[in-house]
Amino acid sequence: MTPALSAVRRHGELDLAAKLVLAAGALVAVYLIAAPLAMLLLTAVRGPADALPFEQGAQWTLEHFRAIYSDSVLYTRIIPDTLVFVLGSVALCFVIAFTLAWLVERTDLPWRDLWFSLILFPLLVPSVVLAIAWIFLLGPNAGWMNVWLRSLFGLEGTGPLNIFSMPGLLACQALASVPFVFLLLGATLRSMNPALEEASSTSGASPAATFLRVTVRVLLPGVLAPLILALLITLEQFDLPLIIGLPARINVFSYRIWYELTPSSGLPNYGGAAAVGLPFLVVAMLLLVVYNWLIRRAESFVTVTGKAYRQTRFPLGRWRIPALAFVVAYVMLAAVLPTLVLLWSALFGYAPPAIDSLGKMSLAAYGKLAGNRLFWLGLGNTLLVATLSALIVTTVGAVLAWIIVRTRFTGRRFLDFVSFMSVGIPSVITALAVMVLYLSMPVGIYGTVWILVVAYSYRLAVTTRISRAGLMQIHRELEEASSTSGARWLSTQRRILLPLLMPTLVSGFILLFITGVREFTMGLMLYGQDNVVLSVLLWRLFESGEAAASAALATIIIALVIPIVFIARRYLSPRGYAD
Amino acid sequence: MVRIVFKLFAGALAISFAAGAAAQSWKDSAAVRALYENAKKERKVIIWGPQQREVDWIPEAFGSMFPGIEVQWLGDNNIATKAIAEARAGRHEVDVFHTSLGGVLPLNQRGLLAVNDWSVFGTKGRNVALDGKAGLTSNHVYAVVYNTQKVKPSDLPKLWTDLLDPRYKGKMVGSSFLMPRLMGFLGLEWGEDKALQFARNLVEKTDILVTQAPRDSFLQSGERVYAIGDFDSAGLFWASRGLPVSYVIPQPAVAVQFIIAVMANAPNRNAARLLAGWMTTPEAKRAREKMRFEADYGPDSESPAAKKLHSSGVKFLFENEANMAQREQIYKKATPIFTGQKR
Repeated sequence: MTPALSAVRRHGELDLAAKLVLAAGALVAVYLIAAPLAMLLLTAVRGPADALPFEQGAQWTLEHFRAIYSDSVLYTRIIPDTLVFVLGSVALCFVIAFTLAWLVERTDLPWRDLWFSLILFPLLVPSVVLAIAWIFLLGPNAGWMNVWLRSLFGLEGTGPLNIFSMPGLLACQALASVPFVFLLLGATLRSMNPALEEASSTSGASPAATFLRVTVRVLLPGVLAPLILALLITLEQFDLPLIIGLPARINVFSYRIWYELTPSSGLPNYGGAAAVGLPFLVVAMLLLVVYNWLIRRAESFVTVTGKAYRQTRFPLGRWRIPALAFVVAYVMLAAVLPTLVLLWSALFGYAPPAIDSLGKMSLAAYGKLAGNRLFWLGLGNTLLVATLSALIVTTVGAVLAWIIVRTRFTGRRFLDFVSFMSVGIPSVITALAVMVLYLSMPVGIYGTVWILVVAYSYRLAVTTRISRAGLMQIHRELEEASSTSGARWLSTQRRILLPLLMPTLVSGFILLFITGVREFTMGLMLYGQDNVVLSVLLWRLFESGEAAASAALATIIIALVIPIVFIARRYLSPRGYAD
Repeated sequence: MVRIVFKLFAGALAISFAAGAAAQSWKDSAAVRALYENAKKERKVIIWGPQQREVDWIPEAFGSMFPGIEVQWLGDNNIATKAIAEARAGRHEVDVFHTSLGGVLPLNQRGLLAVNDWSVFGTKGRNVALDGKAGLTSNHVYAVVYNTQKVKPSDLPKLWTDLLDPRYKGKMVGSSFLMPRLMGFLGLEWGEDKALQFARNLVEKTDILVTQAPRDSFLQSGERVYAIGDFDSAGLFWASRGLPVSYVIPQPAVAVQFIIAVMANAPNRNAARLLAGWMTTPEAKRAREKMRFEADYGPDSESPAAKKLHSSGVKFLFENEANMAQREQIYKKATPIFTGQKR
């Protein structure tokens, strides 16, 4: 073992700067995730309901659990609705996402580059924007699509589509979740050796038979992990259940937490919200364990070998037109039509599109927005919170990854677990935990933009995992060479490791920045006079009857994220779509 | 005829002179002038209200009378919860609180409101509530706002209970925030059990769409044609923006009492007292009615809308200090019915 290697393998031999940086990274990681969760746990067993855990008069109690879990509505409405919502939307999302990923990654579908960018669109736009646009499109009485369908088929009455229903909610949630699953499945499909598909095809099997008998079976282990992740992410969804589910009286657990925290009057039921949240957190953690197990199993199921292969694309032949129609239908519903609806509403108000309305076009909504102090405040806050939280998480994630990959520090598995745990914590629970923590701690950040920076920074899993993968590809020899040449630890990291790891860190930063821009739940639960962000302002404008202004703001958000789509594509998409 | 017109003109002139004199008397008083001078040094004041529409007109109207003080606002249905949470966290940012009498109750119970001297603004008697901590500003009357292009006059409800008629099925939308509060009022008149059963019937039998989204979008698009429990002022406001809507007030007619209060820990104390006091004056009430169609329906109101309503003989149930706690109890029970959290 070289001296440098032994230096980094035994943390005791690291220099002071190294120890300080690594200790700070580990402490920040634990603080960002474990401290709010500990507070959540305490809140669930301290009462009375509207008291903070350490407030005068608070006592140990199990009353919150009794009150919440003896309420029949939990078993007759909330759990069944949550199960149907999560399982239904994930199933639909998976079918759509898998088909799209297969078409883009493994077939000769035309304009794959363009489709890749457009499919990502809903990932970048706050769900609240999409929800509002879909209501305009799919409202049962006057939704544009329903009006069009009724006139096309000569139908009477309402519908035929009804967004305010469980199928409506499932479809919208599935459309919104597709890009995330598409990205995960795309990566799996991209790395698959096509030899088996080619063998099937040359043996005379039809495209459908090859897809069902070869592609699906080979990929099965690799797609189960994204499936679990999709379940986890759908479990925490709050935006669409609030906007589309509530009018249909669909109650999922994230809404129940919100309900406990926004009472008709008086103080929030912190204890009740925590009592609702904890068991769902346990379910999320169990799903996470299953996910971890599946990931390890998928890694052992070899479809990618060291043997070189050339990625060949499956010829669609006569299926090309139906395949294109499928992709176009998704892109229309998830990206193009919502954008057009919002643009129309911003310029013309609520009225459905008509030739005689064209003369009424007005930019007043944009002018009104430009004169609104909250718009500029929200824009600044959004950029600040998204940038800072992405920076914190990227930095801390990279430090954690270094500890996990490069040291034998005893607690490294615990750190790995803590960071990974963040995937399974719904943002509604994070917001609740952070709220209670900073209401109880006299640090004065409640109601400021800094509480959002802290709350948004809990998503450590993304960069820890990405940085880990990046670090494992950089051989230790480079650091050893630097160290034996006399460079200090910090110098080695800054001059050797950081430049090599930079593309990995940038891709993680972009993902987190996008997540920060579109975040709605935490912003809504923690906002006050000074820390409003654009997604919350959009909802507030919509809720206040300022539909044109909210649509105008939505189009501005879309205009802001479009450049990010192209930057993100550079880092997230595979090279060489043009064969 | 000429004599009648002359009398009306002379009467109107006398009223405007009297109003002008009253305005002069409070605005030119030494107390208000001193308050304004001190408020200008603070440079800004922050007001929170339950909706953007309730507060976004204030900067222009207040600024025209008291320039040099920036008014910042926040409109949100959960302002009481947020104000209490911020106070617990030791953060005191809001200066003036503007909501319904019932809505301010939790803040008053926690000692978060300050006593204000309303008399320097000419506000006294029944226009002051909560032992001097709140000044009365305006009323909102619960109504049924409807799309005039899609609803025939013969299909307008006269009683709240008419809404259970099958002809309204699938045509109504209501706010998840306002509907339970309307039930609170109806409970005062009908009794709690009948009001809650009415809420259940609305939810289960009429296919009413209960939402946090604005109802005007549903009315204009025709997605739903009746907005149940929205305020009269909302109907007038939407109509002023070109929406084809009007409203009716079903019986029993009920009115929410809106108030203004200064926060006990207001960071801009003088500006807060000035803004709150001004909100109770006839000038502010006129500006509000002109810009937001929200009138003071009290018995001594100068509002033409109030006079018209009182002369129609409609019996009103007003929110007041005596009934607000009971109303709160009922609407707390009605909320889970509309949000689906309980039956």
